[in-house]
Amino acid sequence: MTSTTSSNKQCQGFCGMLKWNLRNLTSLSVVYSVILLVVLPFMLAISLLGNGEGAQVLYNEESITSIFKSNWLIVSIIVNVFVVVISANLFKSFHNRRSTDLVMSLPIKRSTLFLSNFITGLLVIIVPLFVVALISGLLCGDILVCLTYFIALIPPTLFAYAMYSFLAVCCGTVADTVISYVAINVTYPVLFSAIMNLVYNFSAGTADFCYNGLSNLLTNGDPFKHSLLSPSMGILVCSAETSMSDASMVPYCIYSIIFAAIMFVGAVILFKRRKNENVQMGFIYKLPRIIIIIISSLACGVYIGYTASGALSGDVKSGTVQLLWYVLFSVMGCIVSYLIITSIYNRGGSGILKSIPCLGASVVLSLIIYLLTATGMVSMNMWAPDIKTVKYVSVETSINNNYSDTINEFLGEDVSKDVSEDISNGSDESFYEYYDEYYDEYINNSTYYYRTVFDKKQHRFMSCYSRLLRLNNKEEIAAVNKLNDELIKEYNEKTPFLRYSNNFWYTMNTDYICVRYRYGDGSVESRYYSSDFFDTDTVIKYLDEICSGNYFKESKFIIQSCGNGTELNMSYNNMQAVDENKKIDVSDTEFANELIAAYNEDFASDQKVFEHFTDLDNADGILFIKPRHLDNITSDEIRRFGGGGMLVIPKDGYEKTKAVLNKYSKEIDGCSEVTAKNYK
Amino acid sequence: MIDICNISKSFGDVKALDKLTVQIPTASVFGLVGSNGSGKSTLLRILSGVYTPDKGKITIDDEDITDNPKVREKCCFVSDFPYFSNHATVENTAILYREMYPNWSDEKFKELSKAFRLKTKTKIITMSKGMQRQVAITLALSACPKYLFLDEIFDGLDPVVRQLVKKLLIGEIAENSMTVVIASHNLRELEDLCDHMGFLHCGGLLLEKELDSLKLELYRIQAAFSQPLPQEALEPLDIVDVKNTGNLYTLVVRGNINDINSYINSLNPVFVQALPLTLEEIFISEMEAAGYDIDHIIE
Repeated sequence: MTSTTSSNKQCQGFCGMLKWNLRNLTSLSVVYSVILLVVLPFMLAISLLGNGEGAQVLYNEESITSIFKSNWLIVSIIVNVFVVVISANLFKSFHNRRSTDLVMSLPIKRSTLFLSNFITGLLVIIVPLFVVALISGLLCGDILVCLTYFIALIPPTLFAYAMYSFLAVCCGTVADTVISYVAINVTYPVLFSAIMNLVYNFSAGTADFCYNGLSNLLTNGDPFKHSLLSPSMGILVCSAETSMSDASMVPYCIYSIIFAAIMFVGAVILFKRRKNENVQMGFIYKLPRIIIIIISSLACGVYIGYTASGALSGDVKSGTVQLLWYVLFSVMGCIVSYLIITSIYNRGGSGILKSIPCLGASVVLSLIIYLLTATGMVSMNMWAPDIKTVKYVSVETSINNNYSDTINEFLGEDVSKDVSEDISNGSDESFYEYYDEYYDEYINNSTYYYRTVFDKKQHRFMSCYSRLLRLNNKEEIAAVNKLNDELIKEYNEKTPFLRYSNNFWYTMNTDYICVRYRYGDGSVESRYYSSDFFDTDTVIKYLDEICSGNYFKESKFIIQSCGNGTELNMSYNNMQAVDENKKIDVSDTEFANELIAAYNEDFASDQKVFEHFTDLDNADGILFIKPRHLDNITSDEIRRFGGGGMLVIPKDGYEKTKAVLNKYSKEIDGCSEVTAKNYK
Repeated sequence: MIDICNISKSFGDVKALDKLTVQIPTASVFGLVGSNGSGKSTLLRILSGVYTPDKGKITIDDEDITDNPKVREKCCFVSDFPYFSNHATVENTAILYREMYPNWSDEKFKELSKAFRLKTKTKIITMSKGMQRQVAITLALSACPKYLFLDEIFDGLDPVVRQLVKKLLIGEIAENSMTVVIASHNLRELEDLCDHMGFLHCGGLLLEKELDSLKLELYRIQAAFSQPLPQEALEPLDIVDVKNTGNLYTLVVRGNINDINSYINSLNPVFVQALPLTLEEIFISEMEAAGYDIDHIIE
């Protein structure tokens, strides 16, 4: 009875605080709601009122759903900003002595008080967002899609809000909370990227990974990376995701919710023990401050060190100079960022000396990270894999450099052009257009030549780029290992200490060759040889040796690689929009399913070929299809086709696949006839 | 009853309260006076749950106050600088109090608003400091708490309103057996209001007594003698302070007035007069005895 009465009173207190907080946030939530309404429903309504014409003028012939999707990114930016603004207003009562006197003396448990504040903020942030998504859904005529976008935005928003709440409990002032929140959101991704580098170095057989600063994060970061501790970035990334059914969204949501829960529980525990006498005194709990200072200093140090060492080393052949630049700039970066953030926290220079251990920790950690990741202490750059364990080796070069010229002597002309021209010439010429471009790929820090083929309706057929040289004979692999051993030996002689890891060997210069060892278990290990560190003539000498070997000559083949389409999705956004709105009818799905089945039956016993199109076995022929609009099919199997836009078919065993393609080619809108040709 | 048992509270290196023990009886007005930084406001904040003590325990009606809403329902705290949010009016702030305090009385709220002439629909932050304090008092009294903690409540109030506040508080104590703990430097007002006094200094309680007995314990004796007294002549008295100009002595003496008078008379004074001390004088005397006087501060 007593317990029921007590819980009822707590409930009453909770509701009382909720109403009080909502009342205080009324004007702010009105501003927030109006901005959201203007950005989405209002713009959609204008487009509709203009009978579509307005939308076409404004959005380059995009459909209403496309307008929703593009404006949803703006919504996510607004949400990002208002998470901070609303939270700052909400939790400011915990950051002011006078207001603390009021709220903390009210007859309500501390946990209930925090919960009511937390729920208030959540309601103020989420409800207008839901309303906007709902109205937009009604205007678009596709409520489900709009609500899917809304739902996808909830976990990172929740995480961002929970993190602010946690920091609000730890900090004594609004300013310190906001500064800490921003500092974590900006510097954490940088640091996390460096740690990922460390992890990749430790993990044998993972795909290659290079640290390339923020560009890498922005172009290649998976949702896990963004959502782990950088909620702001998570919100932005999430808004760009097209569907909750996307496989990457699942861990994204799970991680966001888990971390939000951790933040919330942590905040409640700390709030119960919070010493209110420290309000208005910077930090109530000192540890977060120390962590933030260390993370910020460390991240800036590592990032500035990496960037500056690459930029200043120039054309050196020894890692020692780069290392020295790295050490100098990372320490400088650490110190400068430490001074800046400490001065901000201390509102001036006082107390900097007191907190000097934080700086020391940053510098030491920075050097430890360097030692672990860059010197080769623990990485695998000093040895060549055992030939017995290697299934095959592929050799790639960055384009238009000395190394690729050497390989071109063996490979002949650029096959990408040949293939695309053959495709178009072999069919209806008036049906195609080409788009040629050089594309900088940030992940590998290299430039690729692309030829993209479109039909007159702007559907993308295919894109061709890069080249691959693959060796699966043990003697060839031994030749590659010899290249590795000799180059490493030479490098070690020139650089007896303080060596860089394999990651550094190519990130500074696009002029490199890449050797990828594919093991029997499917894992891949990459080794890069950049002209920054290795003498070009020596590299070419060994490359010549590999290419002129008997086994190579006998088994030489060329295949075209095709990407997963991610990069081109960005480049040809408008065209995508046309595709994405195309309705998928039954025949398309049937076609795709049959195609998958036939393809598997023909030759795809090794399912990994789908993951790495460049690693197909014994490919010497090309078939092309036009599956761009099949991207909308969510099946993982089908998506593998949709992304590539092109199939690489081995010389034998593609009859069934060809039959399926021929069967459906005339039934599917815009699909050309299937062309098959050997390119050996 | 409020039972404060051996509580300590430090702010960094500063000890705000040091092993403080005091009992505050129900339906009393307990005045907390003390030097600046003696821990008065800290004690009130601990009582109201804003701060938690580092050591010790406080019970109100035999229940621990730590994060205990059941106890805090009976208490209301008016801080030295009452807080009101930017958009708050008296009316909508009253809604919060109504939700929070089960004994809230709308009737009393209306009465008090009328008595203080509050404009209930005006934003509180646009009001003067004194008006804001009146709003805080109105809200606190309307919550009908059993225990009321007031910090520097008379600051910014004009003399008429002070009288009104005192009258209201006395009325509440008489009608509802409310216990009031009030910290103030305005000893004149406390003298009218309090029945118990606690003198705080450097985080400790110098003394705690009923005001009447406090007043009856200390006297100022002015006496003139035909010749200067030998130093040991005054030793039998419990002297708090002594000043002499020639043969004229001014003594602050603790003890029974009859005993003091009879001893002074035994010294054959030419003239003798015994006067009761005001609360302010008692405070100054006690503080001087504790080493907190102007001479020491200047030194």
